[in-house]
Amino acid sequence: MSMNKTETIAITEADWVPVKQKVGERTEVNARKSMTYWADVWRRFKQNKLSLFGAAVIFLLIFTAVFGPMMTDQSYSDQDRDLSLIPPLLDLYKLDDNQYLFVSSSMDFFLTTRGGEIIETIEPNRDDLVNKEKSFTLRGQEYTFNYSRKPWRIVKENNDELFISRKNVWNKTNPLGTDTLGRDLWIRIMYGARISLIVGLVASLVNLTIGILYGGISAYAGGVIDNIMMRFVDILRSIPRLLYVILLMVVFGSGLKTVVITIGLVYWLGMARIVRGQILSLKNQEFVMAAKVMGAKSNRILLRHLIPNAMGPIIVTVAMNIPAAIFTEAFLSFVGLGVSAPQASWGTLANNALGGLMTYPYLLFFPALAISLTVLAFNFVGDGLRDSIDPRLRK
Amino acid sequence: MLRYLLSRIISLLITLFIIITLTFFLMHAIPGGPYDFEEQDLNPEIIKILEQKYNLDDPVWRQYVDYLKGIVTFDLGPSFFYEGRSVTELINQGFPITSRLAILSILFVIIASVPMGIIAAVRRNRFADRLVMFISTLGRTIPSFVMATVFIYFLSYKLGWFPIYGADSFMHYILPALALSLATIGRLTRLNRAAMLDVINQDYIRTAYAKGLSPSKVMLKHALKNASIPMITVLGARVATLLTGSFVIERIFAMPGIGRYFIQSISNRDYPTIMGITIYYSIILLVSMLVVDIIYGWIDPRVRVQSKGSTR
Repeated sequence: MSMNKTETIAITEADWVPVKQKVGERTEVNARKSMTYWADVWRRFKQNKLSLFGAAVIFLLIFTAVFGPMMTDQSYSDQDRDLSLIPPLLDLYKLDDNQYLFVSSSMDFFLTTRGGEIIETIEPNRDDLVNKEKSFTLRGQEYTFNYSRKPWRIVKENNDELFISRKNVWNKTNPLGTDTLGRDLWIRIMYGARISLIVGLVASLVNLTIGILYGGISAYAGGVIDNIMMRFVDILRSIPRLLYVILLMVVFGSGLKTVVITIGLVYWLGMARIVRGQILSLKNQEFVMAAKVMGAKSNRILLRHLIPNAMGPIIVTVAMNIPAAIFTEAFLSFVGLGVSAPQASWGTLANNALGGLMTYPYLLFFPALAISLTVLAFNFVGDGLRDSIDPRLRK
Repeated sequence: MLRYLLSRIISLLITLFIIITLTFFLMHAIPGGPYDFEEQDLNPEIIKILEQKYNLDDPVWRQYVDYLKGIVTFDLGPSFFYEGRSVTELINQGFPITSRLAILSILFVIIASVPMGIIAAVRRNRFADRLVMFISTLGRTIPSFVMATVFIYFLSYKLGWFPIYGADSFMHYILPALALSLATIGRLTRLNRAAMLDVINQDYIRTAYAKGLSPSKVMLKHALKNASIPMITVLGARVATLLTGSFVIERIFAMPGIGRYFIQSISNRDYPTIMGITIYYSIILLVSMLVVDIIYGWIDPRVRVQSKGSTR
């Protein structure tokens, strides 16, 4: 009987077609689109004005570092001994409507335009060291330059004195001035930006890799292995990091490659600890057990399940490591252990400027500004990322 | 407490031993020696004599054991560069200057970051807070060597308020110490603010107010005391930063401290001096971290209870 009854239910092909929800029919309308984790992070990040400013500075920096050097035909090592030590701001003596005279702090004479473009160098034809006078001829006129006391005086043949008529004219030929060898500071700073960014990014990648693997393995293995591995980290941490970087630089020798490797080798300690902490808190959760039950191997669980879930704090640490690496490179170069000449990093530029600080402060000012602004920008972004990735940390 | 102290000292010695070993073998991995200063190739016999003089003809393990023995008796070997002077002598000579510099900058750190942190916490999210946080960010991010040169240019050269070079009087120390301390001031102000914010919302602070104490008394006696715990820890760790920071600062201000010898020894490839100063700095750092831990247990009773309870 019952058998017959079941047979009477006729299931047609049409019954197997899934029910489709019709548009506009009774649905629960979401107030807004649901956000992914990273969209939420971005939303919070955008609220932080300083971080946005930092990000903008970094983009500008990357742009300058990548494309800047392509736009000029000069290189960071091109020297022009005739144009040495010209500051970015010029005080000009008027010769006539189109031609102006500039006297540099090292008492070289330059013919310039009204707008501050340097036309040529004027060679003095007499240098009287006793009376402290130099003279030079320009278009048939003889000019005498007296430097026995400040302010310096320039007198024409007919005893007319020249006066500074235009103050602080922007140097159009070398916007940030030139160094002792006549190398353009702006171009050198652009190349320095390349070096800083390379060091910052590559060193962070190196310590990211080492840190993730070391911390991940240590936490995942647990027990004695974890204990030994972390003890080792503790010992390394108790050596001042900079000291250890310096020691390794002494062993490896200076150069861009060694700077990157050394910083990468030293700065992974913090990363390893953070990764370990994250993974310790994650590894006993259900999704890991589920993966294990499904037969996943240890390295798969580590790489596909644990580390992606710990990504937030890892990214924050990377963001904080970049300015630290840039700073360390500048420090090393400043001490004379960083990149080697004629390559110039900002630290090298600052170091070279130290000797002439009183007379040529601009040589120090611009590299110092570049370092400070870059480190500041990366720090702002790092702070913003930390606050937006883990809002609980915000105080 | 005594047992805790003992175990800490033992782990300190082990750490130190590992540092010494690492440094020794790192330095011996570099080819070269005291005879590398001459431009021209030296006569092999002279090299042999020089090697004998510095015991470099011994097998490496022998040199290592000798070096360890030397450290116990504070004998860090002869300098390769300064003829006839030992590394210990160099350190002794530079130590007063470097330590004065470090102490003065620690003082600056405490004087600046404690009040700034309190102000920022009390006036949270107002103008004063923003200003303090901005200053601390600047301090944290601008490299000390940049600060130092800015100070020299404006305060010493343009305004003439401070001497530019040297270490002869108290005035000579102010600018270097300030430049050295700014990064730490930035960090500690932040930390102090966070700690104060934590503490301010605790019940016992409300109780203190309820008893009718004045705000300044509550802040200084009740809040600051408890908020200072994380600060002390960090200050201990920052000693390292101050010491390594002094490398450049001493160079910029031409102060004959240990840091300047260190930088010089690097450019001179004076390996015993590099090694000696590294080890010396590591000892100072480890000891200062130990001292901080002891102070920590002393001011925070919670730590004492924990250390009694746990075996480690």
